[in-house]
Amino acid sequence: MDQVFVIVERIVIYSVLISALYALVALGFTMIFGVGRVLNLAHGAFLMVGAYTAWFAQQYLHWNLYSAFALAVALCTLLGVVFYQGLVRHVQRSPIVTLIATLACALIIEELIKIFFTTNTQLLAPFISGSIEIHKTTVITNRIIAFGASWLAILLFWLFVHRARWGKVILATAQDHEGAALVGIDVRRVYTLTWAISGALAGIAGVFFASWVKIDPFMWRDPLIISFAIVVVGGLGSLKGSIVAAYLIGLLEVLMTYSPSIRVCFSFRCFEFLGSSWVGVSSLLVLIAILFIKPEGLFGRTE
Amino acid sequence: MSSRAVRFSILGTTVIVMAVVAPFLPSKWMTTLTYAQIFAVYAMGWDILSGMTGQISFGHIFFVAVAGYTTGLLNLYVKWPIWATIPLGVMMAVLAGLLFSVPALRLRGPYFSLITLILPLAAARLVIILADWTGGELGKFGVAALCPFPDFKANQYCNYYSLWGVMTGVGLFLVWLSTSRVGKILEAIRENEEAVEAAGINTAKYKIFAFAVSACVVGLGGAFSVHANEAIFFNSLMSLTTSLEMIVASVIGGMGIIVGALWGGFLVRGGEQVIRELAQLKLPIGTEGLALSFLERWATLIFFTLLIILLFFARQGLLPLLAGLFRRRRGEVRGG
Repeated sequence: MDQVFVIVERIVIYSVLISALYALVALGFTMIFGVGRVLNLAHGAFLMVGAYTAWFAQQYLHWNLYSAFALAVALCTLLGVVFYQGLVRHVQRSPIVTLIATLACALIIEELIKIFFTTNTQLLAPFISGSIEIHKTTVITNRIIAFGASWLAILLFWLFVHRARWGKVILATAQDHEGAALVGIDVRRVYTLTWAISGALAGIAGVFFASWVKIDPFMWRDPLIISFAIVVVGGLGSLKGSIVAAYLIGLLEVLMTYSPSIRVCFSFRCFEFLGSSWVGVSSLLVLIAILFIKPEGLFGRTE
Repeated sequence: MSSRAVRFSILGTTVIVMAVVAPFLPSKWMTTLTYAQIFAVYAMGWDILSGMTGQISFGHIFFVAVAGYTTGLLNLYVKWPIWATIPLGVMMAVLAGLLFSVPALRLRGPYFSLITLILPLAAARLVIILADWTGGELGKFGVAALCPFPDFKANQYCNYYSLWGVMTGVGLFLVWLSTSRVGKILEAIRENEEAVEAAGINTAKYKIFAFAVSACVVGLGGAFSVHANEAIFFNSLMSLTTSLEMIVASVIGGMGIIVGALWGGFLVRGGEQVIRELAQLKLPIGTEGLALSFLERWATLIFFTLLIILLFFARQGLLPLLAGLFRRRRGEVRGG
């Protein structure tokens, strides 16, 4: 009985921690869609740029992680702005062309990273190494910092959108960009600002994602899938829905890690049904199922 | 570009040239063009669905994988001959296509493209989970060869011409289909689906049909590629890059006209080979010469960059662009 409690406690703690990171990963993606109706398939690649920047600054420029982190966030903010002004602005009118162009950019970034940094897996040193005990569960300290930073970023973002003047302008543009233009809001500047914020959020998420998981040229796929899954489950463009969805997906992934796997064998060839090898698959399958059954998302589409 | 005669003559010229040049090609180029023919089949298959109806699929590699793994694994484990496993693989791809069309009817535009991106990613994970059978990321060797000749040269010719046959058959069928009444309806769905529905046409039926045809064609290419390789290669059957390259090919050649995808397919694969050849060279700069070997790693990058440039400046693609120039020139002569 005691053992069951320990496992349940561990699942709860781990899923609460990872879900905060997932929410942060999806936040920039959701915002771009909510405000500009653009699905940015390069979002995962933005995270990767953040991760590689921090890693490069740490490894080759011998910066400490805090300045490396700042550099990554700054560079991703810039990338967001350049991306919008140089590319998305011109193709935005056709959603399909936007999708092709942003996905092509993600693959271009992947190729560039392969060329300059090879396909080797890299590790990012944590902010604080070591681990601490919460009751009977051992947690890596860095993950708690990632959790705290994620929530801090989400709360700051929420405050900005609902309290600051520019935040309200963004909200107004999201609701009706023609109406916003009519009352004298420079919609293009608002879009540029949202891309900058989205880039910054991706940079933050990228560094934490890297120190949590790993760095390699293919790492952009998982955050992109997670972002999809979260916004599809939570309804595209809805902040609250996204956070709830992030917790559902996080819980599902952690449950998969701890679920007992069933070994299925036919004529001496076996595979594991459920269990840790299904971690990535489960959210994909849930995503496909939801798109099939309820394409508008579990919480509807908040406009 | 819209007339049937023009498309058939472009297709005819292309396939005849492909058939005639083969004996004069160096071995390296023959291999390249063998695989370029398969890739052209993929691109044409993508075009009949996405180019014509405007529902952009990012995941057509999924059908390649379904057909490829089905035929390869059946051949490996059940020891069925390829004339039985290839049709079965294609059938599985068609089935997958029909299944795929269910969300397509509910989802529009970007939402549809999203789910198509997710399917091959999920499939790749499943292949890795089932690694005991599928070989996972390492793939499986020992699949029956398409051509059973012991001689390398004879085999190469046989592979080349079998795939040429597949490409020609697929090309003829798709060009015919795209210019038939069905093709016109598919184009009309791309331009304005509501209007087509208002005209009393069941658009769902036509979209499902386009899915099935597209999956069938791409699956055929995938099944043949496994036997031409004599192996199941995870990296070629599950490559997201190839999936995107189908779009690149179609956009380069011109979307929705089939022959555009055919040309685009050759331009992409041929261009990659040209880049590889260039990478062998040394420029006479400096005392030691400037080696161009770095170019090889830049190939994919160059094509995706080209795609973005084309999306900006020549969204209609190369063939329609050429056709437009040609027509204008002729008009000027007549006018002057």
